[in-house]
Amino acid sequence: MFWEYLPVFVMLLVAVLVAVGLFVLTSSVGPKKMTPEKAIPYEGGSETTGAEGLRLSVKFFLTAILFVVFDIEAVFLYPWAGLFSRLGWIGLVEMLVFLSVLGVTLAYAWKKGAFEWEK
Amino acid sequence: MNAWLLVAPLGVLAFAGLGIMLIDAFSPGRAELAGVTTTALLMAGLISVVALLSGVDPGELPRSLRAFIAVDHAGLYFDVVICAGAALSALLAGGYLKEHHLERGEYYVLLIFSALGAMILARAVDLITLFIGLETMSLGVYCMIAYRRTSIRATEGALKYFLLGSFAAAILLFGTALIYGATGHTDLAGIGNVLAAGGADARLVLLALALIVVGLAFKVSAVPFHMWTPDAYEGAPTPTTTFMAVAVKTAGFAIMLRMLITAFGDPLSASPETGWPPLIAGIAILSMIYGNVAGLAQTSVKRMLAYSSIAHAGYILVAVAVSYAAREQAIASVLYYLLAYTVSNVLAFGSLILLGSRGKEAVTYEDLAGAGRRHPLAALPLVIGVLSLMGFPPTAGFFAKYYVLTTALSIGGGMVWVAIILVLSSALGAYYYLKVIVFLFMKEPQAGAPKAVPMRSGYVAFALVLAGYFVIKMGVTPEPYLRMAVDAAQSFIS
Amino acid sequence: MIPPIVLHGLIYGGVAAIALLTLTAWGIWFERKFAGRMQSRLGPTMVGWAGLLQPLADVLKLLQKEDLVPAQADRTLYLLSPPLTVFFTLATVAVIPFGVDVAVANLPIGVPWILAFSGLMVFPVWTAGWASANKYALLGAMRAVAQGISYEIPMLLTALVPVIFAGSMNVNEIVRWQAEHHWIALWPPGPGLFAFVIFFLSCLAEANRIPFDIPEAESELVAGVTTEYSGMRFGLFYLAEYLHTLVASAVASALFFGGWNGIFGLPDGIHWMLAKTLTLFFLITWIRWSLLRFRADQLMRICWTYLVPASLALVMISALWVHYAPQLGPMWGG
Repeated sequence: MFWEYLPVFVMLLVAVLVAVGLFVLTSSVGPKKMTPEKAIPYEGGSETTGAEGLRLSVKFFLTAILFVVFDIEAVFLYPWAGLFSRLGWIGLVEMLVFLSVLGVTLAYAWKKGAFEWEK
Repeated sequence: MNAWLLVAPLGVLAFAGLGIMLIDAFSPGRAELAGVTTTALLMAGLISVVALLSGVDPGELPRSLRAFIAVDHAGLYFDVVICAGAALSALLAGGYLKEHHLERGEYYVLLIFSALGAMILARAVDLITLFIGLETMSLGVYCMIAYRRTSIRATEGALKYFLLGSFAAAILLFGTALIYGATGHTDLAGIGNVLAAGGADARLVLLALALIVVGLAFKVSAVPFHMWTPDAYEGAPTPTTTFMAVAVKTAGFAIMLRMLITAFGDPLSASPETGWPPLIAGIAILSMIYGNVAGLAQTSVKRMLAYSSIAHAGYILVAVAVSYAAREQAIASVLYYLLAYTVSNVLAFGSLILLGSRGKEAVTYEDLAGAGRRHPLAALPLVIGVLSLMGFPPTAGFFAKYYVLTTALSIGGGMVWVAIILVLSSALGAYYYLKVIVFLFMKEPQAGAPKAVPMRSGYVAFALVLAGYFVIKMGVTPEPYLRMAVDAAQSFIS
Repeated sequence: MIPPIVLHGLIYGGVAAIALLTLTAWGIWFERKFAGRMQSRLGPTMVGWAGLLQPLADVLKLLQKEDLVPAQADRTLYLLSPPLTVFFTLATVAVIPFGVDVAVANLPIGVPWILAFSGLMVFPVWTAGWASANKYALLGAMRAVAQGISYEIPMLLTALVPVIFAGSMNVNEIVRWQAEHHWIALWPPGPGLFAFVIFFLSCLAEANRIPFDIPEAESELVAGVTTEYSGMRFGLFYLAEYLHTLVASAVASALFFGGWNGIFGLPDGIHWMLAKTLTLFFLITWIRWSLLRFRADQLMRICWTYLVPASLALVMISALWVHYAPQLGPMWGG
């Protein structure tokens, strides 16, 4: 079990080493002259305000909820899909019911205007 | 007869819920969703009654289904109680939401899915089903409490219930995880077998038992896990309060019985000295005393009914505490009590809804002053309701309390003292129930104080007539209902 | 003495990581060259023959830049985010079979593994935007997350189609099944190809490539998430984006175009996988330099009202096909 994953770890280790190596290099080679102007947020030349007090649209949160609903359901489908050919018609019917419920949810959210970004 | 009848109520509700979602989305504000919801719930309840009477063999259902969902008579009985409670709540909502300009389709969707969750919870014979049912039920109820979004009290109540509810669910989950670790089973019967064979670490089992009892005591609002009850009950729209008081509580007691009898029904866990019976009896005593004493101090009728629901949880817990010793007699009295409590509560909350209208709601005792003389017909159901909750003959509440009392006395020993506390505390409770009647008929509103004006709604009237009929019927001829309860209780044990 | 399995792991893992990073570097060169040609320019020509050493020069240049951390930034998250993007992207590569039965790790949970790690990509993007304490970075991150999680759903659902056909979640098994039967994008006519198209579009959106690059829309958000990043840290974001594109091409060719399986009975092997991957990579580049970007609202609407319902339908159709096709005779069942 562990050995199966070893190459993955090695690969990720290489990635970490590359990243760390690049950072070590850049911090030793690159200049280090910090000035107050460099430390303020960059806003393309306009008066800097930073991100404080920035209010984000509730749409983003709605999207997050929709994501949770559909993502979890989609993940449920994976074990089923892997075994589908062995489950026979029960598997088919169950999944059609499951997908129809998802479809109803989608239709509901759609009709209720959850996907209207500009409202 | 087709065995699928036994699980049909669940299917009916699931499809009705989806259907209502679609109706609401595609023809907003045009359909009478309260009617549709009530019809679906009544249909599910009716199917359960038919299945109860027809004696279908559950053995024909696939094992994979029976392993997760109970298909016994107790499950069907709980279906009937929950469907009745939910259907009556839906009727009340049909009147209340329109009157207060809150009518939106979501409410009925939430209501019907919560009822489905409650039924799944009441039929759970596996820890997994238990949790799915619990969350399906609770999530809907949280939203239904916060339904009046602009109201601070509703939000406060919902948030309190949500936070404490999540906490209680976590405690319950922790308990179920421990019991799974100790026995290696998630099905209640399997847990019961391992425990009966003494194949589990007793310390783990006791800890798990305590955690599970705490988690479930929260759902039935028993002291000391009741803190959320008054605020949530008061803040919620009254139909939601009704639903919480009847369906949620019924499901909570159902799963508590299943847990205690099926999973923890071994002599060690259920020993009257060191097992769960003294624990439950202790919670029962606290609930009875606290609920009734705190109920005395209330000025809001809705809040008083919240404390009364805590006290009633205590009464039911007395029967739960002896459910191992008195077997089906105790279980039957719990089941009968739940049905009686459902109809009585609907009557009390429903008439509170009926007595108020938009801007002129009946919430406090003062609001009710003189209303009985001004509107005798609207006040009558409230009188019957509080009398039944008080346990006054010949109402459903009287026999409910009577059966619990005789069961407790039949065990003897320490339970006699618990029974005495039950009698004394209900005598205390009579004060605040009778206060309602006193205000209705013997007080005049203070000069200049707002008067409650009754609303008109066929839905509410229908719900009250239905509930009132059953309150009286169960008080005059309790036998058929008791027989149904005993029959369900027997299937519980075998 | 090192056990052979450890040796295998060291070699495969190390070689795959280095090869991919190198390939990505020249992927960037290719794109710049291609973009130049499309716009009647020459692209990089100065460093090496036809500018082939340009990526190396870029790295050297970025290394010499100052590594700035804004005063208000959340230092830990700010520093951690860029390497994490590379890390997660590289992790998805692990289960992709490059040659016949050759993958870094031939895991039975291949497809969910890929989707899980590409789903994790929203975290470093979000932390980068949040930690920068810059409003453009934060807005960019918010958009990136909204877009990333929205398009993940059609991606998850369409990646399900090959799993249904092959009856396995192991990517190599899926490719093997295609080698033995038929490429999923080609047969059955319809679901496979549509699933590929939706999957591919979702991958573009996940990698924030045009026409779905609203999170770093430079005309309105300076540079989106990467606004505050300088030097090599910006370079890592850049690298991760191209790596992501390359990996998405590889995944799509494995899931839908038979991966290492050759056409016309030519011998299977890594060359086919490379050819297919690079073809798709070329396609992405072509799209990038041909199309404009969508608006944020169009982006979300395309996802939720076209792609999600379509992919739900595709899953249903695929399931029905797999269930009923064998009854139609060998010609249909495959």
